[in-house]
Amino acid sequence: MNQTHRRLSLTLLLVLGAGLSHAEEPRRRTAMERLEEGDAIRNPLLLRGGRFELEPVVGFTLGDAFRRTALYGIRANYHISEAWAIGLMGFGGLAWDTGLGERLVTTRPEKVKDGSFSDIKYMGTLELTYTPLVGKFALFGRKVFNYDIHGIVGVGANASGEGKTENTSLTPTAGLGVRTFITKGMSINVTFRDYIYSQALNTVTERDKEGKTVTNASEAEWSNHFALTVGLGVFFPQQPKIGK
Amino acid sequence: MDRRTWGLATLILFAAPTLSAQEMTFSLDDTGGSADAPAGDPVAGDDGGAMDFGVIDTEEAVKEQARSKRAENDLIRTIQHRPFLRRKRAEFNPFLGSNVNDNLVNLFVAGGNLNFHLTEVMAIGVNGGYALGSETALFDRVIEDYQVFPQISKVLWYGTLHFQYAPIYGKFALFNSWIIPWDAYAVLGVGYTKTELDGHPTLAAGVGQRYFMNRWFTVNMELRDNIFNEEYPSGSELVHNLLFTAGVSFFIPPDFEYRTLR
Repeated sequence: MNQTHRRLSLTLLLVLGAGLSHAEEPRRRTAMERLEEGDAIRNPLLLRGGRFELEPVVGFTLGDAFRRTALYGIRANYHISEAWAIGLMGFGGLAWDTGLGERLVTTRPEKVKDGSFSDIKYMGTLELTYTPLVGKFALFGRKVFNYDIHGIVGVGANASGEGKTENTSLTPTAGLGVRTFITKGMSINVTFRDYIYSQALNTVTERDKEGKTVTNASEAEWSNHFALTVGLGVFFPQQPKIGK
Repeated sequence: MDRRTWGLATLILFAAPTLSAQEMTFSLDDTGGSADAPAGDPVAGDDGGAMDFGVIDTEEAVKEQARSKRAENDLIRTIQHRPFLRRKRAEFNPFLGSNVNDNLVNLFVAGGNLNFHLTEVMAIGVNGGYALGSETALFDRVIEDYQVFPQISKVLWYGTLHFQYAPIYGKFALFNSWIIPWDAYAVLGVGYTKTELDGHPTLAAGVGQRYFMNRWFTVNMELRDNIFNEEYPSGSELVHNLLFTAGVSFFIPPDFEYRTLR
């Protein structure tokens, strides 16, 4: 009886074991399935993650009413990961009259005196950068470059004014940039930004009934101010790591 | 025992293990072996009837991994095919857009491109657009503050004949999951622009990008400067009508074939 029981138990165990081993055996996936499930880019160069980026920047404002501003400054970023970076940016500005501004100076000199049009003096922002798009492109089918497209949000302050008058304003900013790596440690960055700040656009000089000169400043309004900048990003350390 | 009995006993003695081994043989499929594995390879061969108790055969696992890697590498061509070919295909590209450099007039533009791609990088085509314009708040402000009526050039429609050259071809990965190929092109053309004031010969120059969604459909954006000489009451002036447009393209024929070397 005992022997029969032992035989039955052993048989049952073998059958169960065989069944279990068969059930746990994973379905063999094809190479194509594994490729489709894997990352789109394998063993990528980690061009950003864990690196500092120092970037001298020049640019100019866009869509200005009366004064256009050339911007010069520097941006310092620390790339926390391949996708995220945090940084500081500081600008100074040199301004000149737009075509409309020049026409007004010519046609209405009595209303437009020096410093009647407002422009940016300097600006500083703390920024967060997110990079969801990375890729490569070939120029003339020969030279291949790595690049990324990134979004920027930040907040800071700017000083704008007319002549010697200066007004400061809180300045939220958002932007979109393209970073093209010319070497593993250097990139050319083109960025389009929107700075939102409060500014009195112009002042108009008029004479009252008694013949006295009266200066009427326009009301300060929150508005969008666009800028296009180009920078040379230098990365530290110069050699990137290679990912899995 | 007689000679016949001895002979039978000898036959059974030698034949029995062989028969037994044949009954326990696993097929190549069962053992995961490969039909083209080299002779003597334990993976492909008969295991002599050994029973599998779920012990991992590390040598077999390594070989399986190597086989898998070879299969993956076979999928990667030495020279990758471009996912999109344009040569001898026509492209129809409706678009919408707006001007970006005039702060006195807003233009809303609807139009289209019709291109024929001579090669993978060169194309000729026509471009045209119809514009609806409106004055901005700044226009009113200038009148109010300075008692001046600003001179503006409001475009009604335009058309150009152009040459397109696409020297940049690239791809990007979205969230490291989807790869989208694209190209970038420069365009140069001549044409005609009709404004509210007059009609003018026009020089067009621009840059654009096409994102390839499948074999016949792309999403496009373009920045194009239509340059003409406007005759204002106070004199003539060169006007840059800088337009940003976004649209889609349909390629005809909708499919293409690779021509490979024989």
